[in-house]
Amino acid sequence: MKNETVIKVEGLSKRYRIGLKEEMHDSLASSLAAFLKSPFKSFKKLKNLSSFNDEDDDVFWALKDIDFEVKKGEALGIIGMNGAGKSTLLKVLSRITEPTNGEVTINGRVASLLEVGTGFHPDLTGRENIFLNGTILGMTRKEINQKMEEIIEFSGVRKFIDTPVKRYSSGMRVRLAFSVAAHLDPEILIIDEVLAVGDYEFQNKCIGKMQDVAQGGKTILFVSHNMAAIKQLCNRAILLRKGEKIADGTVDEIIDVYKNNNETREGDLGHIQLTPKNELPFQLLELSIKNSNREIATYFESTEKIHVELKMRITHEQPNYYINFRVVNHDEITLFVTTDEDFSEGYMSGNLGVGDHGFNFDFPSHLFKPGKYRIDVYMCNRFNPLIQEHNNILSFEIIDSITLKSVKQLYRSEAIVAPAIIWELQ
Amino acid sequence: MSELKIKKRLSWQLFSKQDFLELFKFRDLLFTLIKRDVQVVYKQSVIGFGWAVIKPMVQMIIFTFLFTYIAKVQMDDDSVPYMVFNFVALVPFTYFSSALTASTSSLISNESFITKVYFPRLIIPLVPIIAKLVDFGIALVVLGFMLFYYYQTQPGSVEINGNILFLPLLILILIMFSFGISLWFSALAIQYRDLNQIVTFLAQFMMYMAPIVWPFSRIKGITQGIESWSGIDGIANSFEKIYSFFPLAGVIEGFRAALIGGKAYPNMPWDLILNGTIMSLLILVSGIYFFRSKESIFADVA
Repeated sequence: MKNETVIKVEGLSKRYRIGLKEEMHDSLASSLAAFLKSPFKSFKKLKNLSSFNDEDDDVFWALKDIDFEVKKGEALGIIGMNGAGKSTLLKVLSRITEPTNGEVTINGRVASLLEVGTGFHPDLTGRENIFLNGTILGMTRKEINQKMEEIIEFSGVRKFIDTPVKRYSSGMRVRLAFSVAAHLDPEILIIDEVLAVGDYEFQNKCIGKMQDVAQGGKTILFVSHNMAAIKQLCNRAILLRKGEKIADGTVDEIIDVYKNNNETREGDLGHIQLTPKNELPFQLLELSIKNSNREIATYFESTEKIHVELKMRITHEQPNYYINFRVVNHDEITLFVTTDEDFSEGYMSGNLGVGDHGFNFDFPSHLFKPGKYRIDVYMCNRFNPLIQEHNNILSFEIIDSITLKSVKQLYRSEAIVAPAIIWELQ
Repeated sequence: MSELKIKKRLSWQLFSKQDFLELFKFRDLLFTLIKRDVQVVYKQSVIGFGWAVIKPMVQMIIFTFLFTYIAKVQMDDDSVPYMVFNFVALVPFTYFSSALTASTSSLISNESFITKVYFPRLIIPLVPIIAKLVDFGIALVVLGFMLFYYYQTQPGSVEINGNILFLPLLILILIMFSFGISLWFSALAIQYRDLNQIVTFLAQFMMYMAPIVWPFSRIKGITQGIESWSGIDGIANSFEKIYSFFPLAGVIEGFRAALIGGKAYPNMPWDLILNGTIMSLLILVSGIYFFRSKESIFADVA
């Protein structure tokens, strides 16, 4: 019975209403009037959450006309940026929310795991929570009783199984929760980004377990930002962008499209050209970040070198000019600063004559943790005020693709960078 | 292998045989959640289930003090001590108000389930309705001791007769009514959180509207008062008729007839019970339909 379609999605759409804009009041009278009117307004606003009479600006389509089929035994990865509709798709498939249009036909018992440990109650013991979590995920008490030993064994928290879960560390909680989920034994398994938690060892165990599930002829739908995990687990992928399916193919093909298709991302292109200003003696003209094939990109694998090309213009020579280039992470922490200082006497820029000049350099590979980063460039004159300040001039995103264990562990720690450091035995 | 179609549900497809089967399939979840609710309430508490007794007892003592010493309530028959009269009514009412309050907020407090897992949503408001029966049972036992005490020490105050056999029927009506209102309220509360506030008022309002602190016979005086104040002939009878459809009236008067008996409550108030049953069924069925029609948007508005 291979090649049997188990999930068929046809013309699936889902509409949401986003929060209405708040109004500002500049006088006491108007805010008082607004206060008196507010119950009616709030009522309308709350009511509008579920009714769609007119096509307003605040209505948006989380999914638009999605079609695809999944055959029995396939492991399908769903890839897309945040807000592309991946989670909404999984929610519709797992019947948490109803589609606005279209339909899905599913053949087989579905278990969806959109969150690890749904329904864990802190006051109940591990064992009690296994029952709670298991029945929420659709198991019967009988099934849970049969699998209890296996679940406890897999979780590795046997010692604490009769302790209230609130005394568990967060890692232990995740282990227990995943163990329950891993023993669901469904025909179709839907998983959303659950691997983002837990330590590396356990994560590997989970991927292994999921691979077993996949090889056992089960069908898997998997959402993750971890491209390595998708590569490891899935044999097919679809790419979503703003609620629409834009590509469907093998995992490698789709990851390539995701990384290289600039259209999949907005606003953060890997290249910028600035209009020169005549009054500035020293200014930035152009900046681009490129991948190892020298193509402009904003998505990089963590194992990849990032190549930077920079063009600037000097209209007045000055020995104190230098360029300050910094990379800042999501939490506004500056990862590093690099300048053109060390490679000649004084600064390179300071020694250059009037004209346009170019620099290029590489960020080392195996350095960044997965996530978003921005680039700030300052055109400086030593002992003097800044000449030009470019904050957030470009940004890029690092996708997890590494398999080194120690680095994986760093990803989940508070460490800011994750360099791959190889130990050699002497 | 069963085929499942997911699409927008049409309004006439509110309850199918498949939905019932599914509800049955998830009975273990219902059971586990009830167990959780019962366990969690009294975990890390010294008195534990004792609270189920203390809460209605304290209220009974306050009411007895208030309505026998400060605002004296005219009783029909002085043979029944006010304490007994009041406690017999407070036990079912405490169940009603605590089940209603817990059930109204149940969808909100279980939001994480609703947005993360699929299961028949009806289970969620049903859980407190059943879980609160444990407290109710404990309070009933205490009530039993109290009745036995008066039966032994004050002959003529409590004379239980065969009507006690109707108690399960009364409890069933009470459960249907509580669940029916809870379905309406919980489905509304997830979108309009105001319901959480409203339900507190409503429970208090119903407490004085139901014949808990005052004897049912006083309803005549009240409706006649309304008639003479409004000057419309026959309005007293209409009001009485309307009031008889208030399910708590039938349940509470029924409890008194079933548990106190004697010359104060010789017969079951069947007309009240019948009307109350009709009303409860109406609220329950409409509640199920309302809940089901709202169900599909819970995950979106939560």
